Amino acid sequence: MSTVPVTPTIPPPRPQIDFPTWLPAMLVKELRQGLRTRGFVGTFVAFQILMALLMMGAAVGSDAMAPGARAGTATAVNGFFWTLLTVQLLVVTPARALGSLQSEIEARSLDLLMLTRLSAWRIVFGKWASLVAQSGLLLVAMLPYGIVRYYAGSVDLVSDAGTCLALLGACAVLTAAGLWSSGTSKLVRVLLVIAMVIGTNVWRAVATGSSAFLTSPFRGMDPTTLGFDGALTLAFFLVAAVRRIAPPAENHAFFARVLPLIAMLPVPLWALAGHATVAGGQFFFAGCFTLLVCATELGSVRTPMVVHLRPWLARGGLAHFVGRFALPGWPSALIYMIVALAAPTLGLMAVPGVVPPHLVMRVAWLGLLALGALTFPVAALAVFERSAARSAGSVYGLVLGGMSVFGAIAAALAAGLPLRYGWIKDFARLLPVSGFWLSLGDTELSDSTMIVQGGLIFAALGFAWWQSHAYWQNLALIESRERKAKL
Amino acid sequence: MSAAFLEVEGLVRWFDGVRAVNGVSFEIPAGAVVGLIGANGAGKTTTMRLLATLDLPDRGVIRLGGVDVVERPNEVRRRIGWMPDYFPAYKDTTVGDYIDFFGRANGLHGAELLRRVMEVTEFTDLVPLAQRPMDRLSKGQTQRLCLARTLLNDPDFLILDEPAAGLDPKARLEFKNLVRVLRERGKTILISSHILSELGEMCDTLIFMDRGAVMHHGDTGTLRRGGATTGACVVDIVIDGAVVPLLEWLAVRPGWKLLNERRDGARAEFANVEAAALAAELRRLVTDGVAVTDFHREERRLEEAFVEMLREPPLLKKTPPAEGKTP
Repeated sequence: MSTVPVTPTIPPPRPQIDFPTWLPAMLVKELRQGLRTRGFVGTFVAFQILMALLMMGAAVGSDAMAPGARAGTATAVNGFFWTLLTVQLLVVTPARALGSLQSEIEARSLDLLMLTRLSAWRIVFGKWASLVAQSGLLLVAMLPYGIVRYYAGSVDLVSDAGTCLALLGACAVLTAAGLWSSGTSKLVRVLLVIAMVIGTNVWRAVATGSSAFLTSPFRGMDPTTLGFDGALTLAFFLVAAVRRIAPPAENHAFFARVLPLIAMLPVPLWALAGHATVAGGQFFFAGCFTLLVCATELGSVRTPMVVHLRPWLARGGLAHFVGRFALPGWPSALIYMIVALAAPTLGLMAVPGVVPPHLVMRVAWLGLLALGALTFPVAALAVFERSAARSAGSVYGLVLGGMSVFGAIAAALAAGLPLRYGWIKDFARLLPVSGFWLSLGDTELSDSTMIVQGGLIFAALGFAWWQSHAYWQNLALIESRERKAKL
Repeated sequence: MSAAFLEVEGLVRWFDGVRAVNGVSFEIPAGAVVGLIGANGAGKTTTMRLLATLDLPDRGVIRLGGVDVVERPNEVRRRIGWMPDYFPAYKDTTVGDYIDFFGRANGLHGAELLRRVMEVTEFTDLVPLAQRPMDRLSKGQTQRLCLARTLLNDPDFLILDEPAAGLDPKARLEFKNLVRVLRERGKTILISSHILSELGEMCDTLIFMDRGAVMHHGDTGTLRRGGATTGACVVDIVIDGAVVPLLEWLAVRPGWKLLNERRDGARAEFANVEAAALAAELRRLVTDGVAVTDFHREERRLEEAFVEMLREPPLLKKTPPAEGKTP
């Protein structure tokens, strides 16, 4: 205890000279832990040994080889080098992020962190920056082998530097995505990984049979635009991760919901500048991004609190109106989604040249189908709201994912089985979620299909709107209390 | 002690349709050490979490030094130190790294960080353990590390949830000494514990909670003397000579009830807990000619008082949740 003297033989607490004290606390903590983990040390050492052995083998063998054989060795060395880097940056690091927040939640250490001056933002950013920094360290440690490859063949330094940067950028985005999903349960994380693998393959299958507008969405896009989109995606995943651990009094909905609108901004600029292909690609990205943001926003049954409303009420007028689109909970997200999907779609059709004329109506209909696809799980969520309150996001995701899988199965059955099973696909096409996915690959839809699709979409929207009545009533009550308090 | 430092008014917190905290109100003056007592599920930890800004009340107000805990949580967090009843250990982290991290997280930098880390490490006697991985600490060492972390931001108000749980007698004594030193340094401390005798020694006042409600808030002396719940006290009287005059006096004197008689005296209950009233009765007893040689008020153990509190009727009521919660 305090009465026990400190003997000279006992070393005083180690002065923390490993990291300067001005560095963010969370980053320092995560780096200290991360650099000591067996995973990092093992990977670091294993990569060095593998590359050293490979380079020695290539150098010894190349002396005795004919020029043709040397080229083969160079290809093998290059392939091995880039495979190692890709695995580390795009698989190992995001996989480490997958358990990052959950470990804090399970250890119940988040409460202690929240009581310090660390905000949810700083906690998430520290974890993300630490993981990316560790990947950067591995990358830098591998660079000498990149140069040594010269002796086993040839090196294009400019191209390699660009690839390294692109890999690091992709690693940053995927790590943020891993952090976002790490706030969920293990089951949901496993399902997310499976959904990602299936989704990639379904997308490839769908895109193969569709128009050029869908098959090459990013064709002609310059690195700046790709960087811009990457930064927006990164920001979204980070804010989504922040929301997993932020206290209920904090509202991050505005930040998340404004990102798709920012993504949409370059579209008219590119179109007006005459770069219709780039504008189309950016519109495609912004559309997908909007769907992603809407899907995550709609999977929340939180109700607004007075602290969420105050910043909007204080500014009055327009801010008060805008605030209704930026409150936590699916009812606010629902009206946001309607605007976020309708406004760009209508705006896009007004700008000539961005969407080919024969696809205008199709894009508009896809927008409506997307609206229905995202609203349908909300209607389901509203029915089970009380029991699903704690895991609303998971329930929403499961309904959305389940319906999507149903669409994929229906498409697969229709393609691979006798004609008599065609009705399964027709039925799936009518339903909101599966109908959206199946309609992506269809160039023509019959009137009757469109009538049923439209009817179900408006039914889902109407039901969700009716279910949100209590939310808006509660909001009005809080507002009136706040006004009275001010008076 | 000064005016109320912590004010809690009508605190309500619902969990799945059950009121975990049911209209809790109390005040704690600055510099006081207050014990929070209750059975498992009484609402102690929920109350503490609400005070620590880690949860939001469905209803009620909490003010710490005049600052609303719900309205300005960040301001309050800088003034509180919370020690939970569990210890989240980090992997691959030494004691020194852990304290250093929380120092940084509390906004300390440069020389100030090193100075503060040294201070709390020495205060909690963790200097010899600075290089030890934190998952290799004993329970007592772990509790000291927890306290060191809690003290890093030099808080005015300490919330200690079951700090002595699982400690051996030596570690418990050490911990008690630390609390004593903190009290001398003017910290306001709220401690919850199941070890009531220790709380009685450490605390100025005790708050008894049951089923989410405060059953009693008062000093330990009142609780021991039993007046808190019955409005009466038990007195043991020893006399010189025959016991009959005493028994007769007790029989005729209003407010007295004989509990049991002995050869040299009797135990009796007096229906007033005020010290002045009791002193007046003693004077009257002597002037009435009873040869009193000893007269003292009996004290109960806190455990007995606690059990007595639990016999009180439940206060649980169900009303709909307020704004900000899932309907």
